[in-house]
Amino acid sequence: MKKAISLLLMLLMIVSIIPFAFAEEIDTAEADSEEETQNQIALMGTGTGAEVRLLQLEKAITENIIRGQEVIAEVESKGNDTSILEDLISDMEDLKSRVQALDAESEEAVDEFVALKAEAIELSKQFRDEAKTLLDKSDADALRTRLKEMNRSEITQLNNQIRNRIREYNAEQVKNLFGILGIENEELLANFSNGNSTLKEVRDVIKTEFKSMTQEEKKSAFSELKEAGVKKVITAKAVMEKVRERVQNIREKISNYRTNQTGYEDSGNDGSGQENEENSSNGRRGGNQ
Amino acid sequence: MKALIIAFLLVSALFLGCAQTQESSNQEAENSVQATEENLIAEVDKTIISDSEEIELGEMI
Repeated sequence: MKKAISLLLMLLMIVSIIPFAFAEEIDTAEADSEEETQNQIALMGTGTGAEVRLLQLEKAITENIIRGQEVIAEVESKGNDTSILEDLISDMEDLKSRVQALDAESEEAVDEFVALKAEAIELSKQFRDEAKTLLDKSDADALRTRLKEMNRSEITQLNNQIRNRIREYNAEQVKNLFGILGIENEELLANFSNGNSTLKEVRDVIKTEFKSMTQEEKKSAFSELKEAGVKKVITAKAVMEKVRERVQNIREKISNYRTNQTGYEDSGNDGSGQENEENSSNGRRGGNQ
Repeated sequence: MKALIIAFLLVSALFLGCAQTQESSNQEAENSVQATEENLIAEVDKTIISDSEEIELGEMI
């Protein structure tokens, strides 16, 4: 009898642990994604940094639209209904327009980036889940391999734009760092800005200059740099906290949308949807160039 | 059966204790960052965006 009770207790313990194990896995995935987004927005403090992130998001959405269209063609060739997939791609195209229209210099650019990215992730997930029900595993595997090899001029163009903006952003940051560390090297700054010097060369100069500093100077420069980094992280965390509920609502709405075909709309912070209309009239590139 | 319950409680306490110790040591490590060359370069790298960085939205199939 005692043995049976012991066994029952052990079984109960194991069964009670299983949901925690799964919950832990889901929480970790969400936390990873949240941490990644937080790191991304930490560098959106300047117009150029924000523009880099918006261009990267536009590229990621464009890639998924192109891949989605390939998936639709494959599903159609099997004689299956593609209407839900087409609706989801149409939503992704709208989303892409909203990303393009967003002004990188605007106050709400960072909040909007987080919300739009969450929307893009959820739409991609819904599309993937739906597509998996319409294609068998071997067709899906073959298609996945084909999609990885995909090479489009639209993506190449976006890659070039992103590379140029990253170079511009990094040059601004290095100039700022040189200021904090008291380094005067205009030639290296100009070369780095033109792409004629590498980040490794910049690091080497920083290391050499740092070695020649007094202990007090080292402490002061390092503290200033560290403080600036901490401020960025704190600001990014505050944004994540601010938009958490909105992101959760977006996920739920899109999830219900596919299940019930009820339609969804991210109403923005104030619930009026006015924000997106205002952004559309500004335009990211129009605002900065 | 008592032994089983005691063992379960002990394991739980041990688990919680380890988690707490890990958190304290992480906090300690964070507070004691020195102005060394490596730490400076780590801070520098945090301000830079790499060309290879991508935004991941997940696959479509």
